[in-house]
Amino acid sequence: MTPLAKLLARVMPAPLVGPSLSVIYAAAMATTLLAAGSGQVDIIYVDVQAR
Amino acid sequence: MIETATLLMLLALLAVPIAWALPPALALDGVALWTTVSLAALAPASTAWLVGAAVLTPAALDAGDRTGQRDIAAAITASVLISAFVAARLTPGIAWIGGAFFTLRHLHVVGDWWMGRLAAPRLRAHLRYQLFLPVMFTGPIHRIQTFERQALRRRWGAQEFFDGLERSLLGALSAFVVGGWLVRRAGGVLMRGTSDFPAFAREWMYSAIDWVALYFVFAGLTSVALGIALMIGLKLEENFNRPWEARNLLDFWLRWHMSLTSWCRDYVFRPVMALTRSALAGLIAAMLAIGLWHEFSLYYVLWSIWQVLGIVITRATLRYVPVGSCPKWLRASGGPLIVLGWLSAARPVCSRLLELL
Repeated sequence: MTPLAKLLARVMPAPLVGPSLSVIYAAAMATTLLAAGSGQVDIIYVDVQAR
Repeated sequence: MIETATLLMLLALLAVPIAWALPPALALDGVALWTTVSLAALAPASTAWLVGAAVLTPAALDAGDRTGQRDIAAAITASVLISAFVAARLTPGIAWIGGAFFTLRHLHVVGDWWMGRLAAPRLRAHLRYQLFLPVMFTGPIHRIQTFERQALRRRWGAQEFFDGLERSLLGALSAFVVGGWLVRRAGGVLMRGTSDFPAFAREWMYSAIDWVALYFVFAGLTSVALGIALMIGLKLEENFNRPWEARNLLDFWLRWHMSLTSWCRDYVFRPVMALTRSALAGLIAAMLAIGLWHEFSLYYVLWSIWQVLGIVITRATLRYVPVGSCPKWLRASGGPLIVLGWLSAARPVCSRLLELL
């Protein structure tokens, strides 16, 4: 079990862990892709000079 | 156009199938080759320097061993590395990826060899260590000893792979969504109601919001790097240890960007302290190294002095004020707020000092 799955298993019944994890992963991936593609994100602290 | 940080992360992610597709003995060599090709496409100058330095450093250390001129070999190698880093920083217009991190990794190898903690690394081992794409552009500044140990222990494990995958995903969420977008938006809304505040206070608040955003972005990017490394089968050094729980500034610097602070402790603070017998001299040198590593400017010299002042005040407070008698809840909530206040005050204070100078 991943750390997030262990956390969910502590707060919800076992049959709900898998579906909840899928929803969280999908939401995380979608929002990250949207944010990364929006051009409004300011990613600092990447060691890239003169981009 | 895809942003460089995103592109580098995707390229680093592609190192995972490469590592598992190759025979175990060649996996990290394959990652090193992939790193070279990827970086060469984006930043040829820094890649040429990185590969050249990664090849020449073991040769120079080996020559030092063979001739018995260890001091001279270490001094020349370190001077060349530092000079190239300074020259790259001061030369505008050239693409330079990962230079701040790989210079410190090289200096760590040279320093440990010179102090007798490390035998001169073999060329292949050194190339695999220096050319590991997941940590090239955000750190951590991992140590060659840990990397070698992990490379020897490396084997497939579904648990580690999925832990790494989850960590990378949540790290990207933290960096792109929370730090890169949400905190800045929330900060913008918060700042709208402060138009009649004094300029100093507004700048201080902006700086505090930036520190919060910086945490989510930097810790998130580090999680992406460490998660990808874990997917490849390597458990590398952590960079953050809940800095928001820091009770004072000294505690904060032991929890924030730990691979940089431990680097400065080992290769700046301790040698300077041993040489001068002064902890304050060691602290000033270490903080100057951290500040100037970020940027060569008078602003960062002042920023370093501000951090030294904060640590000196913290040590005096811990010595003369009975902080331990405060209620636990007050220390747990007040400590981090004071730390954030001090860190974020650096910007308005140093900018005003710069105007005076």
